[in-house]
Amino acid sequence: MQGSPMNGISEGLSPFRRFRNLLLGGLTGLFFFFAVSPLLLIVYVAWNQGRSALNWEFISTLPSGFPLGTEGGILNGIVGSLVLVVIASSLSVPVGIWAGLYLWQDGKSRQAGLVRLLSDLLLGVPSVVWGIVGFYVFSTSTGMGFHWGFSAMAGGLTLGFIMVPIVTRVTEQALRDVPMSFIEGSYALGATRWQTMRSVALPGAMAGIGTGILLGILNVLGQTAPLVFTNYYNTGLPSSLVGSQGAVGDLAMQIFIYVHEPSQLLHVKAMAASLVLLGIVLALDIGIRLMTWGSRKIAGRVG
Amino acid sequence: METPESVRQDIPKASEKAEGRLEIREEPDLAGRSERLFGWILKGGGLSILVLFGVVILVCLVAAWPSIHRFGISFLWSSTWNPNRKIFGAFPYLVGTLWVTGIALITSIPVAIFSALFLSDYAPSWLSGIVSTLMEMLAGIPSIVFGAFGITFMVPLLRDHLEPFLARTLGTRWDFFNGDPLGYGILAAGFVVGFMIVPLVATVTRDSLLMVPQEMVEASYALGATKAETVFFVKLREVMPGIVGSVILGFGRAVGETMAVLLLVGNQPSIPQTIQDVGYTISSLLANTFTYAVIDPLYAAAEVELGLILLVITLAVNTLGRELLLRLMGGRLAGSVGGG
Repeated sequence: MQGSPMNGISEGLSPFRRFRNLLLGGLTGLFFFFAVSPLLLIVYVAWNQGRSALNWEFISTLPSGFPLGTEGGILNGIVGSLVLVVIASSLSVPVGIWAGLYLWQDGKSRQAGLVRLLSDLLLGVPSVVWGIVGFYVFSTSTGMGFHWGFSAMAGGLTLGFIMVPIVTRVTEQALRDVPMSFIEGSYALGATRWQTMRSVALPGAMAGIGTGILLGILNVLGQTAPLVFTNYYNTGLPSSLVGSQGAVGDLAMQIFIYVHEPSQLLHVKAMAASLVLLGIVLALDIGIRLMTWGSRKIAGRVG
Repeated sequence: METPESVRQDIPKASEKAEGRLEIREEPDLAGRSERLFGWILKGGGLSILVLFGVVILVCLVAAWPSIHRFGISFLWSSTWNPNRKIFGAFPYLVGTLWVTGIALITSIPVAIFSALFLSDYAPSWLSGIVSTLMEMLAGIPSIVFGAFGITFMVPLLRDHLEPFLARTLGTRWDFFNGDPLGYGILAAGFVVGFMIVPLVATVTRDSLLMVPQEMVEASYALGATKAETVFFVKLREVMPGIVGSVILGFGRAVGETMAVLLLVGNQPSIPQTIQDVGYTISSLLANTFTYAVIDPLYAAAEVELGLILLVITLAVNTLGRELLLRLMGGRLAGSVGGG
């Protein structure tokens, strides 16, 4: 109390300034509460409306009944989301780390500056535009492209495109966080750049890169718009990954379709599915936070 | 300690030294070659980003070309959208997008800036970790969940309470606030998009607030300023470019929001006259009708051209915002990754 600048001078303040000080300070707290209230409201509303439909059967069975989905569960969505995330990661993790290594190694060069700019711009590309790109590259049946139709491969690789710049950005940052003295020490011992990268830089940055991958997965898990263009939806389990039978279900798509139906029962199912998606996303989020916190603590950078 | 004799004894062995030098000359050459090869392999990583960017631009340009060629620049202000007569104009969708984005920005900017101040200056230190986490978790909530929340919570709230209230109070003087209280419309979509961009704007603003030199804050206190005066008149003014940059990034995010808007905006290609009207945005039109449009090449091209307009807007806006923030913060551009 003694050392605080506020108390020291508050004696001679005019009532107006004292009032303004309290008012503005209080307003910041109030507006912060406004800002995070959607988080609390969304969790509350999803819990309140979806809880009744949420049980083990909901997670472990395929949708059935009429209209489809009023009975049964969301197994197709869970499996499909998993398939899409695996496909997306298998494209974006190698490419993203590769590009991140380049940005780290080439550092301040003009070319690296351009690559960094483009990578940041790719982060901001709207998801519908990714959908269009994915459609014309993977799904379209005319012109150039892979002609895979609406399929898991098309949807997953489109999500992979979205993930690449995220993994790139975080990989570069994680590599920059490896102390320069480690890198210089490795070079001083006569190691080549490849050896330094393999045995010093990458192991040091592993936790950060892992965080980046999880962040990317977190981001693409909730993506719906690109899937409208490339994968759409399947009420069953996938039998192949490309072609006309290749579409998979997807949690986000499932919520979208259920919410669009004029059936109260499906809205309840949608809220329960939202609850599952929220649970996965928030658990991932907390996991990422614990990971960063843990790795910082190991590196001794947190007081 | 080496004696001079031993040194002198080493010198005459010229043949041995020459051999050694040969070997030494060989080695850096080999290493140099693998180093160069490694450098080229790494360059491929940079190239992959260039290629990805090129693919995005190229696909949009090529697929939109029939429409660009057919309608030219008047595509932007023609308001007829008739697939049967093959006449397409972007105006209603551009206006709808700007309405939703505008409402989102107006509602979210004050909330985001005050929250950023709370995060950086007002939250007590034991609380600051938790409140930052809450803010960043909000950024991770998927767009579709916001949309579902909007349908089950915001729409009834607007329909039964806020919109009748607006019509009763402000609406009696200005027609702008009047309208049918549907719940769905640009207001619902704008509010929900506003919720979604608050975390982005707030975290970027917070990061730029943390860059203000401590000396400046201390100088302000030394001149007798209160905490609020220091924070609002000194720090906030100092980071104005950062705030502008974060708002620009928020604009870029809001313009492209799709699923929540699609569920809430009402999807009517009319130009909104009042704040309670329904509308249609570029992104929601694309997500809603693109799969029907692909049957007709010109229809598809017109839709892709809308996507191209969206892409150009976001690229321009994000370049600008990034430039402002980089100048202020030098390198780290945190908080730019988030839900979609």
